[in-house]
Amino acid sequence: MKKRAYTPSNQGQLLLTALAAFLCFSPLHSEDYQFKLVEWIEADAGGQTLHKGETHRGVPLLRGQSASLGPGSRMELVGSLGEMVRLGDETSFTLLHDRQVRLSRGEMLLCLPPSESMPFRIQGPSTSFHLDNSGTIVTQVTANGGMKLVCLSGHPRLLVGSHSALLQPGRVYFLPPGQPRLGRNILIDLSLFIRTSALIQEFPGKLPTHRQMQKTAFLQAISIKKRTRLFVGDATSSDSLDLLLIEN
Amino acid sequence: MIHMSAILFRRISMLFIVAFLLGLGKTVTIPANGAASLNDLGLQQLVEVKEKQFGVRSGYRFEILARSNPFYLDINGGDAANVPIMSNRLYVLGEAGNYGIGMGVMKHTAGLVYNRTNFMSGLLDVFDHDTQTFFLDNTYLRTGNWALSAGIRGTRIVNTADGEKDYSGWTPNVSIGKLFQPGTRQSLWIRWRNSLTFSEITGLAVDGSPFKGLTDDRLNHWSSGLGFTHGWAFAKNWTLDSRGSLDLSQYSKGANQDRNDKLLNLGTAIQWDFLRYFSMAGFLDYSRRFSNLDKYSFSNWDGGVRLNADIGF
Repeated sequence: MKKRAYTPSNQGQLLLTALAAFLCFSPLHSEDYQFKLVEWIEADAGGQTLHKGETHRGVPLLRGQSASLGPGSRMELVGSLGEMVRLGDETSFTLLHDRQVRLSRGEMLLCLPPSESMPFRIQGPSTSFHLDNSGTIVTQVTANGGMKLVCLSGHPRLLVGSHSALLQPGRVYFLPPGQPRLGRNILIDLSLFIRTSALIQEFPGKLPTHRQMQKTAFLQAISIKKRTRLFVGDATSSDSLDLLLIEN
Repeated sequence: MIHMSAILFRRISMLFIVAFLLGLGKTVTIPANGAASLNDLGLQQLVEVKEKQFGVRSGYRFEILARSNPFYLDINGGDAANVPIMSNRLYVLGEAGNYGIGMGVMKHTAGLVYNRTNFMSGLLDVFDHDTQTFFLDNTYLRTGNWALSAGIRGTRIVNTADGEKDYSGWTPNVSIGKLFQPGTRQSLWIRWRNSLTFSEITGLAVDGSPFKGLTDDRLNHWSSGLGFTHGWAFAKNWTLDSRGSLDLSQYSKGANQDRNDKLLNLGTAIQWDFLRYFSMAGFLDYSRRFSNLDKYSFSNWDGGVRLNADIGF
């Protein structure tokens, strides 16, 4: 009987076999989890929205693939587990793994349906976080490399570093760059946000959480006792943010 | 890092001044027409919300006015009746609720209003009277700015000269309304209201009266009407409030049997909020009633000024 020697080359074969077996028998095969393109719209130079037609519908975005959108271009994608993603213009989005995405630049709206599966992970340029529970959030890469989150409906749980927090609709949260941690949060007019957000208004279809969002905004609207002329802007340095003052 | 001009200090609330002093961030002043360019993500305007579920509002209103037809007669009452009228009103409202039901929210309001009306002439002071009102209102506010209300109002009119109760009545009512917001500075409420009034009027229906049908319940009626209220904040601390309504009423008791009225009300007021809790206004109102019994038809103009003090906590 000829003994088989364990050389570096067949050790590599073993590793590849093991990896293939893992991918075949893992509960969620990597090819099973993907995003599919639902809507692709572009705005022309005059701001007019143009639909890209029906042919692109169903085009998959597989693990490791990216979508980089140019100016005026927006996309809607649906994940295998019902997650809906809308990408704003000049956004770079990559599907890393099952329920794991990277947002390198731009902004993204995420609708998370009720799910028993693993938390949804979003990785930014220099921070990352997980979201658990159902809800609707918008997230944006800030100028300082951190991220901004706006909760629109539900009470998703934010897991960042060793901390967790239940997100409150109508609140903007900042995640500074570097060591994952939750920064400042500010209450905003949810109704105004919804009315002026291209990620909500520019697409022909309604979000699955549209009614819930409208209700949440309405409940907040009748409780507002004071509006300021200050608007939340970008985060340009590690621990501060811009507030914009609208003149008369 | 923190850059604020003197102008900015005047414009932002104390809360945000404190926040800035704590190092929240820096401000960038941008022109109003530049705000539209921010909407890729959605405008994020800072707000404060009322967290509590209970509230109390109290106030006082002083009015002095000229009334063209002080007794709402179908004939000219003569110059002697054309005297200034002074009105003093105190009110307190309690609010509870703000809890969600389905796609909306429920609010309950209870209020007491006390109003004294004085004719500023010795000849007419026998007509001075107090109007006391109690009301309960339950309003369901629904998304889409719809409001459904059901409530009841109780009213007593007491003559201040002799202390006699001239009138008392209860009016259950239901209404449906919708709020339109044509712009950030304007609001328009349109409402359809239905009510039934059970009342008791005294003073004239005495034994031996030569008049027939002056029963105590002769002012019982149902009413249905469409109305609007428009508010326009046309400048800082200045608002123009306008309202109008057309109500149809049908009476069925005593001398008023088969009486049908149409009542038109129009009014406008320009208000100046000169202090946080104080405002003053000039107003002009017009009323006209068309009745199938001619003696109940009238038209009237009211014009005057008012001073308001209102506080909520």
